[in-house]
Amino acid sequence: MRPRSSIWPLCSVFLFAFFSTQRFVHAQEFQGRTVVSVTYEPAVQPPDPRDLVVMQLVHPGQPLDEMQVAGTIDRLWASGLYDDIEVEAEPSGNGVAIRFITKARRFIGHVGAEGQIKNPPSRAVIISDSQLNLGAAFDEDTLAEAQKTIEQELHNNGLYDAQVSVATIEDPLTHQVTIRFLIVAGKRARYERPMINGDTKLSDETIIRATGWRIPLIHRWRQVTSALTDRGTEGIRKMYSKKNRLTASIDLKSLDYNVDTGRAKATFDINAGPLVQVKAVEAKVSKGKLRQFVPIYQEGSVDNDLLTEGAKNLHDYFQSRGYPDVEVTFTREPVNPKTDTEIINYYIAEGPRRKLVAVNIRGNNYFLPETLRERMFLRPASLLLRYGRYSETFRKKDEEAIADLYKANGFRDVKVTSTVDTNYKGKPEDIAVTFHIDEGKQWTVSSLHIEGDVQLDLNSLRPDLTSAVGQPYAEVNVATDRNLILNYYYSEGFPTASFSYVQSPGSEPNTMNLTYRIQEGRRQFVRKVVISGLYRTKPSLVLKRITLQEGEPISMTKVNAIAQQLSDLGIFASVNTALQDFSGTNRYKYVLYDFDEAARWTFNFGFGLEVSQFGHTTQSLAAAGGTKGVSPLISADINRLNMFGIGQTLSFQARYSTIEQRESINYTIPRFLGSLNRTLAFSILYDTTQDVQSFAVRREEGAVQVSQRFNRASTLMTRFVYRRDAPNTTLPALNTPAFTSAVRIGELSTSYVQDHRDNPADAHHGFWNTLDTGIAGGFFGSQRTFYRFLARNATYTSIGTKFVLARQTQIGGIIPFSIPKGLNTYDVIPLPERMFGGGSVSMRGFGDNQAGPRDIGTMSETPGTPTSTPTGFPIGGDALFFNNVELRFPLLFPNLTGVIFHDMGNIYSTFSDISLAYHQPNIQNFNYAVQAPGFGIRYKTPVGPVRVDFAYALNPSSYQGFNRNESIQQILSCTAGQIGNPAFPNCDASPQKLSRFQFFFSIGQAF
Amino acid sequence: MRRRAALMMLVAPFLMHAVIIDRIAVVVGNSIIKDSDIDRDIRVTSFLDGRPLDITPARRKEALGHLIDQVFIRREIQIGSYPIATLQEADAQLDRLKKQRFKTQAAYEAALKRYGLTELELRTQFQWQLTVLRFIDTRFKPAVLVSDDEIEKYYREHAAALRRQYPGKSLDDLRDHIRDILTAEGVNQQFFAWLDAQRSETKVKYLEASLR
Repeated sequence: MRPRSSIWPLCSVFLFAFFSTQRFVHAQEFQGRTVVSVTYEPAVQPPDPRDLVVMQLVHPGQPLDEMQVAGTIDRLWASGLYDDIEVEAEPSGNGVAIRFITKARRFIGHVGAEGQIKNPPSRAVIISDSQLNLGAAFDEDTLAEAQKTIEQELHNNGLYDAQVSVATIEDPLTHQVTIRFLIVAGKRARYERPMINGDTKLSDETIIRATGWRIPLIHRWRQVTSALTDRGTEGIRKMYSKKNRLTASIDLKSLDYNVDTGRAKATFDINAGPLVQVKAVEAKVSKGKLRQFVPIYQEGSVDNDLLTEGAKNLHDYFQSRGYPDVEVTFTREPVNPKTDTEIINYYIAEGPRRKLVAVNIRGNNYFLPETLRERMFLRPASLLLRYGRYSETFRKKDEEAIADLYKANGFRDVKVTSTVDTNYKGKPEDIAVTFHIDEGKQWTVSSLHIEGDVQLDLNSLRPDLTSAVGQPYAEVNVATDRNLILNYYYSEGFPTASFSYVQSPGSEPNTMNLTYRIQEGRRQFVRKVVISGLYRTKPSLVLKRITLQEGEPISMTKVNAIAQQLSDLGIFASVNTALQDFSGTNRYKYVLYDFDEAARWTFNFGFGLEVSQFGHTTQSLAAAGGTKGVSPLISADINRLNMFGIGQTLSFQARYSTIEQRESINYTIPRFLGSLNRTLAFSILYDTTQDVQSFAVRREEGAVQVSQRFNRASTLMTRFVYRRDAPNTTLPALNTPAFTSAVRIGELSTSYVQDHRDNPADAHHGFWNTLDTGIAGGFFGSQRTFYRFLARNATYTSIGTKFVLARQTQIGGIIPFSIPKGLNTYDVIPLPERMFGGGSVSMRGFGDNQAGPRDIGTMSETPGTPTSTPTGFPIGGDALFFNNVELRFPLLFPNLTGVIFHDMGNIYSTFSDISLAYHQPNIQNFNYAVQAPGFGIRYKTPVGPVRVDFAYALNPSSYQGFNRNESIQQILSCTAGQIGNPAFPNCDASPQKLSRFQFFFSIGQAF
Repeated sequence: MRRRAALMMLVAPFLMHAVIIDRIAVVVGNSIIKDSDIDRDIRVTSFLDGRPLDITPARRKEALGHLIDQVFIRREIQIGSYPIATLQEADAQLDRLKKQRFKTQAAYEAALKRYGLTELELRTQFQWQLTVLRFIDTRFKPAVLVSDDEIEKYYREHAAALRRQYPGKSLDDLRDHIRDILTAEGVNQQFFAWLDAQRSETKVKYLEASLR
């Protein structure tokens, strides 16, 4: 019996067949009828109405043309905003009503990963693995693939029980889809003893040790991570390489997870291969050099190509060491089954050692020899290069470099050859290389036409084009022009603009006519800016900074610059930007900005050791001139970013060492009052320090500062500081209420910085100016009133390509006014407010903070017998002047440089006491300029040059003090009659002199 | 009851009187093939082949296969900037067709009307055919190298047929002719291999169920 339901397949087949075959009939039926209406379903369509009106070719009142219907579908599709389009027709009176039924395409918006994500993999890696790109078309298949990839990444990192689900939310207006991967990571598996197969030639234990998968000593297996798995395989390979088994093959076949034990078991297939021994015959080459130059060690395999490359590298190495005639060949001996060894012999016939004494250039008329030499590798012998720098490879490269320079300047037919004279001026050990340049004629541009610039006027660009009429003709110049023109188009909303050019000989010899052809393509405009990914940040924070206006041409330069500025807010882990459906033909596009918010809390902890000549205490009378000290240091920073979702930062910083204990809290408001480069900061500080050995100070401070950056180099900072200084000293002369009572200082100050150095860590040219001025007065609640200023000017001048002359001058002063009753000009400035100097960054003829006036036993203005025993400890001054001059030059190795310097200057009692006198006036007067030449070496590191300086003070300060290692407490018990009495040596200071030699070890240049 | 419902569903679209006059049938990568493209292809090929117009589901599927291949070719021509034939070159083909098939202009125009075609559609079709032939020649021919051994082998294997077709001609006389035959075979092989690769690499999405 036939089942009743069998009618359905028949019906459906009939229906499909009927509809499909009837489409043609319907289309023909309606062809030519008047269109009475054109509607869309849904009514709101994905394109901007300004685009839709251009795409729609069917219009009411016109006869229906099926070609126009098809054309409209094509245009709508080309916009990239649709997944499906159907067109329906319905009779309406004598005409026909047309309806476009569409399905909008969806696009990838914010992609997030949430849940308990155990790093690794990090959230960023998970999102990156998804391969879901902002603004690209979204479909379910891609999403499923992304989910699988993320699961695989989690498995690779030992999270075998991880579960990944996905949730999507679509914005019905923009059709952007937010995708959230929800991750339940589960427990991370640990490795277990791997299975090792093959001819390993090593014990399993040795191989396991090489993986690093087991913690030494305690033998606990580590947790599985992708990186550790890779390092394990690499570790085995390196171990075989170290044992000269360079052809060993290590194959990680599998890493299988055992659900019951929670462990992952690796299976390795290993074939150790023979021992490979590389020998240098006839010449000495260290094993290290062989490893460096023969790439079989890096590649982990042995073949003739690599060995040939090794021979070439050795050849170049010997030539660069003064053996221009060196010949390097190699042989491979078959594997000896008894010793299981393959021997590779490099035969190196060095030939005589020669010196490259001259590099001559002939035939150059257009360029100076210096211009050419700057681009060359070959270098004649010099102090730094004993045999010069020569190799065949370098010689060929130099020929090419010279030819390229000429070609870039219109000498299309230039020919550069070189000859080597191996018996230069009759000396067989000397060689000279001569470059022969046949310049040929210089080709110039005779005419330049630009075609196709319809919408943009390129006349404004013409002055910047390198291929202007009369200028040298060269392909590299055309390429430069191409970049200039296309960048202009890209910045004006033409992302598909293209450039081509045609050249033809000009009417004059050696001239060329140029025609630039530009296809502008479709101009794109901003439809709307769409932001995504903001959960904690207030949208207004970013919207204020996105200055794109609806309807303006899309400049990708501007779009990306805004993204960079948003990234610079420092509250986002990443800022992505894209156009929705970049390749679609619609002109009005959504500009997308997607944010990945950074973690709100950041923690930094540091440990260190400060080594300097700070002396540390006044407990030893012999330490008045400073002694070497060591101060352990720990620091901690805790930052809370993006406070209240408006990009402000609260931070707590603490720093503890034996000479300083400091805690501070800062609140930073960037972009204050709407200016991108203006920052307002509030801070409070509690600090106890004894970096000047004469006294300690406890400082409580509150400050507010506005800084305004005018450009990359110039910044102005204005701050108001209110602080309480509570000094403490055991020096008899200072142990008076005037010095030891706590003082409140209210100071308004400004700093202006001009930093035009090419590299602040190691400048080669430019200048650096700073000017600090301040006023402390009763109107600010200050108990002391004074002006303060400090000016610095530093310049850096390159001499040739390798030498740098650097100099710095600093001058400063503190000028008291409205001196309170009971105080005088010498003691009105509290100790912590005074100027101190000397040390690695100011004046290397002194130890740290050792310059200037010292304790002479009295602070009275009245000269005469001291009222207390002089100790000679530094007590600072009210003025400073330092001048430093340095010549920086290269030393033997690329990262090593040397310095010779001359520092001069001092700290002075008052500004009017500044003197450049060479001799110290007397043992109680320190107002003269100390002169200290010296030298140093620098070693470049990623954090700046590591610096060692040795200085020799020609005229070090003398002072009244002690050379006995006794406590300062002892002189406090001296009576007036005992002071200066030789019968009481503990009370009788004698002339002392600061050390002439000073040594500094630090990071960064001196200035 | 169910039978009645089925009948209602069958006729409902016609009662509503709104009919689909065109739609996207298939998406090939980033390109589309519309119902109207399939119809046009059937009409043009039927006209050129002199076959009666027959728009059946099977015929539509067959036409769709050609159109999908043409999408690949069109994309490659665009990417590689291959030369495109001119409409003037197409006109020469059209004139030849008219002379061969139609005694009068009126007969030609009547045939066009019967197949629902315009002359522009025919010209465009010829232009496309010429463009494709050039593309195949430019893209695949340089990679086909025919050796003397292959020519001799072909001569040996087809000796009887060649003697019948070209009596009295030696291998040397026929060498160029055989080379052309072998080259054409090689080009075809390369072309179809390329098409197969495109088919396997490109995502094809059928929006019209009857074409799956």
